[in-house]
Amino acid sequence: MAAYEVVPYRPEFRGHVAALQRHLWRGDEPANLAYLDWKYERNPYLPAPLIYLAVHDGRVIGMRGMFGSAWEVGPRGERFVVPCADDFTILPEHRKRGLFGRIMTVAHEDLAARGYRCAFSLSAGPVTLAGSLVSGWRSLGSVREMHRERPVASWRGPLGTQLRSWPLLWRWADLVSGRGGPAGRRLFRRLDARAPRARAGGKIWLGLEPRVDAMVELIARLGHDGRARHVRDAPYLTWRFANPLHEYRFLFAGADRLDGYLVLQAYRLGGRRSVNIVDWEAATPSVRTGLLRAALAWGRFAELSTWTITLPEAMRSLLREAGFAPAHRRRLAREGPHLLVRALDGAAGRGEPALGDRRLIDAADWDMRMLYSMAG
Amino acid sequence: MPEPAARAELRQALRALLVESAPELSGELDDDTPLLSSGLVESTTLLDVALWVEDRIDAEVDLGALDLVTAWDSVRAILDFVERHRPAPAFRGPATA
Repeated sequence: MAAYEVVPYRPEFRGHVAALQRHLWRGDEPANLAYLDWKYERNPYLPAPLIYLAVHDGRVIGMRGMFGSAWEVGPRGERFVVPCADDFTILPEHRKRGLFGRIMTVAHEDLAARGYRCAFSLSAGPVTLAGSLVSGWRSLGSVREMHRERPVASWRGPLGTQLRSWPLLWRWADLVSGRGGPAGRRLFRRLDARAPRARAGGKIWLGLEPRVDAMVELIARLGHDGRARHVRDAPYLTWRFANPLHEYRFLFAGADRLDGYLVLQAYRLGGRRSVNIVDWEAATPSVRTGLLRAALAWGRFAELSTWTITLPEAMRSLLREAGFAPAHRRRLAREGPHLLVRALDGAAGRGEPALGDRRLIDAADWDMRMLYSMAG
Repeated sequence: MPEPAARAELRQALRALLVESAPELSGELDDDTPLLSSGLVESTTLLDVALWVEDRIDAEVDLGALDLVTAWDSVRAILDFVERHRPAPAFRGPATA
């Protein structure tokens, strides 16, 4: 039986990796290649992809990617580049052979040799969580996803289902049920139709593209309390909102100079119905409330979610009042994925994960947004 | 002192789960075989164990709050964990007519 080998990514593996990623999100090869290029080749923080591949008999059968991220901590906003573990998959016939541990051991040693002091994993599901906790990673807890569902009481869904089984008429089923069109865009259909697109009198309005410079200016104006947060500068936001697997919408408050923004995201692939609030900033509580109300009123989303692990109580309270409740997802990750950190200063990762003089094992030391993870 | 029957049943069930999930364990699994620190048990099997534990203790397990390598590194440690966390049996008072 051929042995397993863990090797760094090389360009000749590009097609293999795109094929392997079908096990992660079922995209076709062009979509997966576009995602691979965006996430790893065009990442603003790493000069070349950091992907660790398990190879068996010349074939790529497992992978773990590390995308680059940049974080600022402390009162002076000291900046650090941190590799974030993501995209873990192993072909089904090669599972339960200890490959997760082998890939991660190689990754930890390589990252430490490159001089990184710690690594993050920002949306670890149950399998990744279990494997990571026994290889030196530490959990800050689940992201504490809050979720709002709007019951869909309509004649359209049942009629669409019936039409699917009828000769000739089946082709109208998606149109009738409202399920036609690309997944992400379809979830924003109502928002796109109802929200004003123009800046009128300083009210809230919808953008299909980010207003990067204005968003960066607002973030800078609002200041930073020193908790660990991703750097949100123009290169980051420009890259981040170009994710080819996601669809974004932007609610802006204010005019040229923004008073606030709220970013909504949906997945282009798969049948997921959920829209996520991935970033949300405002100069005042009333602007913050107005942005949320506008999203709810114009979007009328069947499912809307956001992460609340580091939100202040006032914002959680606002979400609760708007009908959000703690998510209840699959076992061992009921309130969403976990945030993980690992020190890279020793093989066992037993050191204390830190950036600068900030320890990172307490969620209270973080300002975490869904945008920072690839879930958003 | 003989082992309580309940623990023996738990051990049998846990061993069956581990061997089914990772057949290579069948020849070397005793109560003190290191499972996690040795790398014998990996993420998907550990997940199966976590779900099994949840079912036994009838409560959610917060994996992130545990030092798994210490708390669950052997069959003995996992059984101890289950016994410490499983709900106390309901008190059955004397039957009334």
